[in-house]
Formats: sequence, structure tokens, C-alpha cells
Amino acid sequence: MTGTRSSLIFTSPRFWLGVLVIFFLCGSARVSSAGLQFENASTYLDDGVYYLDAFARVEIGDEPEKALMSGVELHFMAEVMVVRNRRWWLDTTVVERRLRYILYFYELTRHFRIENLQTGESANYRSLSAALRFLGQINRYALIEAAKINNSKRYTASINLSLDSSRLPGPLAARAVVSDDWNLRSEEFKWSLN
Amino acid sequence: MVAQLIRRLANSLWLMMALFVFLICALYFVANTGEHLDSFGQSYNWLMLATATALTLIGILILASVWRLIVDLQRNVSGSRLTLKLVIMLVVMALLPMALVYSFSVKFLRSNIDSWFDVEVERALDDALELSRDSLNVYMRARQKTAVEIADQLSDVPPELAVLVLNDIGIDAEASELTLIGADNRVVATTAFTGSVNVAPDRPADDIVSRARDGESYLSIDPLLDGDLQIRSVVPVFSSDPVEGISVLYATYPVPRSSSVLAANVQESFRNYRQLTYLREPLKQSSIATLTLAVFLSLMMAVWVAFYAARRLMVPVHDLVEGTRLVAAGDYSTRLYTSGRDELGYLVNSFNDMTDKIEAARASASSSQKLVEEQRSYLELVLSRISSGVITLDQDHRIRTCNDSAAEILQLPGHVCEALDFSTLPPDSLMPQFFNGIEPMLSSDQPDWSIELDLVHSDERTQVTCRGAKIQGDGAGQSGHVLVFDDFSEVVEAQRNAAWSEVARRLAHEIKNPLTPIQLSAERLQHKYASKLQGDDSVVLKRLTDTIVQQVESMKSMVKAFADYATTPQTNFVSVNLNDLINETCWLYREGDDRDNISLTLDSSVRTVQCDPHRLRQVLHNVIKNAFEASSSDTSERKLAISTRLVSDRKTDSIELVFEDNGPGFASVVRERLFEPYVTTKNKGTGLGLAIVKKIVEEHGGTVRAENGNGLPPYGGGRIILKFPVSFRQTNLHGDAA
Repeated sequence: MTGTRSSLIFTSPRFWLGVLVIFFLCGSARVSSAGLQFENASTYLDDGVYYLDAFARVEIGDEPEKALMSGVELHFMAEVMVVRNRRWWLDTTVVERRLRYILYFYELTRHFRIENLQTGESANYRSLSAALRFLGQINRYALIEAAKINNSKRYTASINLSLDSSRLPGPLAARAVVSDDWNLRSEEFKWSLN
Repeated sequence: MVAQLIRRLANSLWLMMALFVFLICALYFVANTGEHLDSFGQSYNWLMLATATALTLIGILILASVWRLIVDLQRNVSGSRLTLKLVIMLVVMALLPMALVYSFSVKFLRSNIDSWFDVEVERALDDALELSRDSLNVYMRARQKTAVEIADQLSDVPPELAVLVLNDIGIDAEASELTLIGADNRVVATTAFTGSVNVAPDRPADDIVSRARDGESYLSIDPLLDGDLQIRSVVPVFSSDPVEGISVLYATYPVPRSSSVLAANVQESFRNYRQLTYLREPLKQSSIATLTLAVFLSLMMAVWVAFYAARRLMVPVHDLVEGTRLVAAGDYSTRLYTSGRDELGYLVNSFNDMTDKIEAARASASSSQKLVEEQRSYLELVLSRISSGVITLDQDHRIRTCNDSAAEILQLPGHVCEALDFSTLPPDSLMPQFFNGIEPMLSSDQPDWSIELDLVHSDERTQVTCRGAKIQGDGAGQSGHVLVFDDFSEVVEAQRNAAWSEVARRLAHEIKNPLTPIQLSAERLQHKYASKLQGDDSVVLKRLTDTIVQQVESMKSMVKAFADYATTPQTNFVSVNLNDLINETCWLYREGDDRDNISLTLDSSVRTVQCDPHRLRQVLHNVIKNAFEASSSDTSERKLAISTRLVSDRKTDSIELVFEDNGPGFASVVRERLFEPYVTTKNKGTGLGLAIVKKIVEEHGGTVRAENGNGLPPYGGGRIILKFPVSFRQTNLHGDAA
């Protein structure tokens, strides 16, 4: 009687669905401890230019934080891309931008500094969370001129943020190749441009 | 195809060198960069990928070499075992020092990296940083105090005069920028003392301003982009009029350049040291990994070089083994490629020299053998063509060689004459008699001897003169005897015939001369005295003279027969159909006596024969007449069977003509000398009939012999057998014997 019941359990779709859910939960729990995740991204047209606003939740995890506090510079890169969707053919890229940031800890004044390599601007933060919040925030970034957009076509914009492990010091770079702790990369966030 | 490509790549020195050089460069680059804590940039991934690909490729090529070696070992390919030994030896030779160096390197690497870090240095750096902070704090407090003083001075200044006041105070206060934010949170006045004036002045965050209005001053020192430090101070500006709100003064001060640089240096040193401390373990790991990779790469290089060197080294050895096998199999044309001037090259050259000499010796031996063979063939040809019989005997008196003439003279089948000894001599030949005759001479140890033998077999006498010589050979089987003998029966017979011809000629000459006078005298006697005598005397005279004349006639005919026998007329050889000639001749006898019965069995394949038809007709007449005369006395019917047939032997084609009567046959005494002149069993006759037959037949190159039918069919009487060659060339040898 018991054997029959156990065999029924293993053949039940609910059992396997549960296993799958647990598996994904474990996976997501692991991801949630450190990860980059865009919560919002959008574009708006103003004065003939499409501007980008985006916000990503940035959590770098223990190992990168430890490295950061030990003086290692972390290079982040946000890749923004606009493609024109074509029904019967591959999509064509209209614009592709890379925004690079450096995050490091300034021990003398105990500041977390973020440098925007495109604009040359920098910002100092007392806390890492504030610095990461700033890092995940893009406000009014001039993405593309409206003249380059054909309103009769459909465009999709996408953005992702990642830690550029190739810019890590040599010994760490080798480790970053094989370690998940250093594999920080957000999923691609997509939205319609027009 | 793929296996062949892999094999070719594995043997490619340049490809492997390029791969190894690339890997060494990549390794050097990684090691160098890792040591300096620089980042590789994006090329790192590509470098890793290329390195992994190169390593994989080398690994595959080495595995292919290993697999090929295993296959060669299983197939027992020459040189594979030596290759295995060489590879193992070279790899072990490389591995042992490599392992030693590796273990010590790891140990030194760990201790070396650990030696970079020192507690004292770390503490000194911490202290230096703390000292910098304290120094900056003192400076900050002083600037804040200045800011508070400026705020006090601005406490009751009207907003429109605030800029003027700020300008006056600010220069003395060494501020870089002063901004007064009103109670309504708007900038009342701002002034800058360094560089250009900002159109939109920097202002503190709203929460800082709010807290300042609550009496909580803000003081911070911030790093700037160019590495300088900036002190920011936010202090409240209280007014004496409580109605007016609390304004806020935001002042920024530059830290002196020298202090900034020193502080930045301390910060950078501290950061580098902290970073190095943090990267200590990864650095060790990556260094050991790099070292391991280098060792692994060296090992792979060693393995590949071992395979390559072994293969290169084994090429001449393999060639030598294969060449030796070929030489053992008899192929002396093998020449090996000389690869170098080392000992192996010398060995290969020696091998080539050896095969050259062997081939030359073999060619010489072959040439000598061929020469010997030619000479032997020539000798055999000569021996087979000479009329003398030649037999060689070994020391055990076994026949070693025997030419055709010997087999013919001794009536021995040619193919059985060799390797015979006394015990296996064919009894139906002359060999036993021959060897019995010469055996005493063979045993006598005389170096040269000569003997005449009279051999009799089947009522035929063969007279042989034999000369022998002893052969003194060096080795076993070389010594023995050589016998040269000739059948001089024909010579004796020819001499006898010549003597008989001479006798006949002289007899005819001597008798013929007086016959005519005798005959004439008798006739004259009768003619002169017959008429003179009377009665019986006349009859007696006539009978006597008639007898004389008759006998003289008879003697004349006999003398003519002798003359015919002694004289050989000029023969005229033409092609004659023998069957037609026989038919024509026999027709005369069929039309004659009724008792004569001639049956013909003529072979249709017998066509023409080269002969003198007149002489041959005489032969037929003589034989037929002789047969009928032999049969006439005993039987009422005289039967004669004549048959022809074509006989082919290994030398020539012959026509055999057989006459067989139904008479009593030949007495053995007569048969031996049947064809000699004056041998006859008849009361009448000269005894020249068959002698003439024999003479004419021999003139035509043929033979004649007599047999007894012994009652066998067809008639069982005497049998005369003539044998003519189909094509006989008349020569001058057959001249007039008389």
C-alpha cells in the first residue's frame, strides 16, 4: 500500500512541479544574494532627443565588496542598445552605447567614489549602498536623436549592466573566470522605444 | 584523411614550434601581468581561449602520437619498441628535474610572496594614513572655525550686501567658494576665489542644509577628480531678527597642494598595500597555476620532443631494419637515404656499401653461373651432336651424364640413362654388356685406357671402341671417369661392303674378259665340228657346246650382277609418291603368275619421298622377287603383304615399308648376314639381291632389317622392313664405291 503511494507521488506532475519550483527558488536565492537587476528603464522624447532613465538594483556580494574595501577598483559597464525590429529579417542595430563607471573606496576620507568615464564626473558617497544606488541610476541620458528614428518602424531599446571582470587585477581576473561571485551581470532589460 | 592530417601536423616541427612559442609568450605575458597586478583588459579572455585551444591541439597531437605508437607496437612495426624506450627515457629524464624544480619553485614562490608582507609595514602604513587623517582633521576644524566666523559676520547682513561681504571676508578666509543660502532655500549670494566663477554654483544636498538649519554643522573633506582634496563646510547663519529664518553658509576650502599630494601618496601606498594583501592568496594561486601551466607545457614539450626526436632518430634505424629484411629476402637493390654524418649515417653508409658489394658479388656470381651454364649448354649441344657416345661416371660408377649418341649406341632410353649404376642397368639394352666389358678397366686405376667391345643384342652385333680416362676432382663428387666410345659397326660393314665391291669388280673384270672368247670358242667349235661328227658324237658335241654357251651366259649374267653391285650409278633424286610406285610395281606381279597374291596396306598420309625412282623400283623388285622365291617351294599360293606407314620420331619423319611373305621365315644363322653379298639359301642366285637392296636403301639414307613373323598375322613369314627418311638430301658422300 505504501509502495503504491510512493510510486504515485513520483508519477505525479505536482511532485515534479514542486521539485522544479524548489530548484528555481534555490537558484533565485543564490542570485538574490548578489546581483544586478534593472527594475525600470524607459526613454522619453524631449526637444528632439530621446533621453534614457533607468534604475537598477545593484548588489555586489561579499567577495567583490571585500575586494573593494581592500582597494580593488571595480569597473562597471552599462550597455545600451537600440535596434530596429524587422519582421522578416534580423534586427538592425541603430545605436549602441557603453557607459563605463569605476567604483573604488577612498580610504583617506572613507568615501566610496564613482567616476563616470564618459562625462568625467565623479561622486563621493559615505556608504556603499548609496554609491551602488547612484551606480544603478541613469538620469536623462541623451540616447539618440529623434531624427534617426522612423516612427513608422518599431524600435526596441535594451540595457544591461555588468561588472567588467577583464579590468580586474590579473590574479583576480583568473579567479573571476571560474567563480560565480565575480560573474555580475544583469539580465537584459528591454522596452519599446516608440 | 583526418588521421593522416593529424599525423602530418604531429610531425610538423614548425607548427609545434609556433604553438610552443605562442604558449610561452602567453605564459610570460600572464605571469608578468599577474605579478604587477595590472588588468589584462578584454584580451585576457581571448588569450585564455587561444591558450586553451593551443594546449588542446598539442594534447591531441601528442595523444595521436601515443596512439600511433601503441598501434605500431601492436603491429610489431620495426623500431616501435626502441621508440617506446626512447620516449619513456626522454620523458623521465625531463620529468624528474622538472618535478624537482617545480616543488622547490612552489615552495619559494609561497615564501617569496609571503615575504612581501610585514606587520610593521602594515602598521606604519595604517599610522601614516591615520596621521594624514588627523592632520587633515586639524586643518578641517580650522577651516570650519573660519566658516563659523564668516557666518557670524553675515548674521545681520542684508541679502543685497551679502555678496560684497562675502567677497571681503572670503579673500582673507582662503576659501575657494562661499555660498549663502537663504531661509527660503535659495542662493542669496555666492562668490568664488579660485579660477572661474560657476554659473550654477555647487550646493550641498538638501538634507545637509536642513540639518545645518537645525544647528548641526556639516564638515567633510572630499577627494576631487584631479586628486586634490576639498573641505566642505556647511554652517548655519543665525540672524538677530527671529522673524527671519536661518540662512546657511556653504564654504569650500582647498587643501594645500603639498598636503594633498602627501595625503594622496599615503592613500595610494596604503591602497596598494591593502590590495596586495587582499590579492596575496589569489596571487599565490595564480602564480602557482602559471608555474604549473609552465611545467605542464614543458612536460608536453618534452613528450612531443621525445616523440619527435625518437621518430627522427628511428627513421634510419627503421630503414636499416627494413633494408635488412629486404636483403634477407634477397632484394639487394635496397639503398637507404643517408640522413646525416653521425654514427647512424655511417651505419647507413656501411649498409649501402654492403648491399652494393653483395649486389656486385651476386651479379658476378650470376654472370659466372650464366657463363658456366652457357658453357655447359654449349658442351651439351656439342656432345649431343657428335656421333661418339660420351658417358661420365662418378667415383661409385654411377652415370652422371650421358649424351644422346651414347643412349643411341647402347640402345638406352635417354631419360633413364642418368644416375644409373650397375645394379639398375636396363637389361633390354647393351648397357650391362658394355659395363661388364669396361668394369675391369674402371677398377684398374689406369688414367687412360682403350678397349674394343663386341656387343650382341637381339641378334644384332654392335662393335664399340671405348676410350676411358679418370677424372681427378678436388671435392667429393668431382672425381670419376669419362667414357668416349664409338659404334664402328657401320665402319666395319662399310669396309666389308667396300671389300666385297672390290672383289665383285675384280671378279667381274677378271671373269668377264675370258667369257666371250670361251663362248665364241664353244660356238665355233660347234659350228666347225658339228657337221663333221656323226650320230651321237654330234649330239654330245652340241650338248656340250650348248652347255658351255649356256654356262657362259649364266656367268655373264652373274658377272653383270657383280658389276651392278660393285658399281653405283649416278642417282637422280626426285619427289616420288611411294604408294604410287608400289602400286605400279606390284601390278606387274599381279598380271604375271596366278599364284602370286599381293595385298597392299598403304598409308594415305605417305605422300612423296625424295628418291631415285629407278633404283627404288629395283629395291621393290628384288624384295618382292626374293619373297616369292622364298615362298614358292612350300606353298602353292605365294602371299605377300606390303604396307606403308608414316613414322615420326623426335628427329625426323620416316616412311616404313614392310614386306611380309607366307614363307618359312629366316633362319637365325642366315638372318645375321642376310644383307651381305653372296649369302643365299636358294640353289640359284648370286646372293646379291638383298645386298643390293641394302646398298640402295642406304644410298637413300634409310635402313633395312629382317624379322621373322613367327606365325603372327598377317602371314607370319619372313619380314623385310625398309625405312626411308621423308626428306633426304643427296650428298657427294654417296659416290661410287667401286
